[in-house]
Amino acid sequence: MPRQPLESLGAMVREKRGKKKLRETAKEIGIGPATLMRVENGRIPDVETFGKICIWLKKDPGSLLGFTPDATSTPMQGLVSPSISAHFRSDRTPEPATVDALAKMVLYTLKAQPRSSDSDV
Amino acid sequence: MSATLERGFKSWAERTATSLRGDLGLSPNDQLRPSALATFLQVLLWTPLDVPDLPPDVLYQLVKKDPWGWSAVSVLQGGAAVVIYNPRHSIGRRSSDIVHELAHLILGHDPARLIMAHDGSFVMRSYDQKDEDEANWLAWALLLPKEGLLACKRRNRTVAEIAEQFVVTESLVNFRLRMTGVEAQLRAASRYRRK
Repeated sequence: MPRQPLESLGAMVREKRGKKKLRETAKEIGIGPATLMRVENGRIPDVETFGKICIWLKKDPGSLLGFTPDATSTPMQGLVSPSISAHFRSDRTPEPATVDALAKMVLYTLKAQPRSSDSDV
Repeated sequence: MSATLERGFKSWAERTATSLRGDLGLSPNDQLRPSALATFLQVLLWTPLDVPDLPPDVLYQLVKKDPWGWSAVSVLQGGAAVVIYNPRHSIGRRSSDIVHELAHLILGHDPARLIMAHDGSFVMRSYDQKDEDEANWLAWALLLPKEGLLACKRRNRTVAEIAEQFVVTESLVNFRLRMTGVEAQLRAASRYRRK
């Protein structure tokens, strides 16, 4: 199944919204207008927002993430990595490069054996 | 911002914060050092510079290119926890960032779910506004207890002086003065005295 890059999400949303008002479209999707604006500007949404947008776009989330669709699973199932446990404090729709860097930092932290606590804040 | 909080949560958070501060041997007027709370909870505090073998491009993105795009991350593994905070933020902001992460751990919130794309790159995470609001409220109560705020205002301390005393941002002091009802309480007391 060809993957539509996730970066094209904003363009797809903008195209489907057309001349419809931002606020009206956001309400239709079930998200806030500021979040919709950020997604249209290329920011990556959180999972819940992504799910709502996919439903509104009538797109399979897997097609945007490069997964082969599984007829037995619901749209968002099977996309979650169960091995990573982390809380993040950042913008709700951060820069894609920052999201990727944060995730890599989590993976490297998980690989490391926690050593002594020497931070003093 | 706290529209998601359940009735009674704020009072519970204030009581829990008072109790935890007491366990740390702090009076309501003392600064809470995030490192002391982390040690008490057996949580390690790191910056990205402490993460072993972190590739330079990842470090560059987080510390140089987009230092304002993230605050802190807590990583949990087999009961052990590490909080990685952004060292580029001001000391007041760092306190809030770290204690917010520690509050998630105190509250036992489920970690975020991470979604990876097929090519192995990370693309998005789950986000729970209720968990974020709860962690904020508890963190702010830990950093700036109502009783301490009240004592400061009674001594006519300015917002800047209170921020310096508790090592937090002035915006947090203003927020807590409004949200804890300290300002309203003092205004009412002043009106009563004038009568």
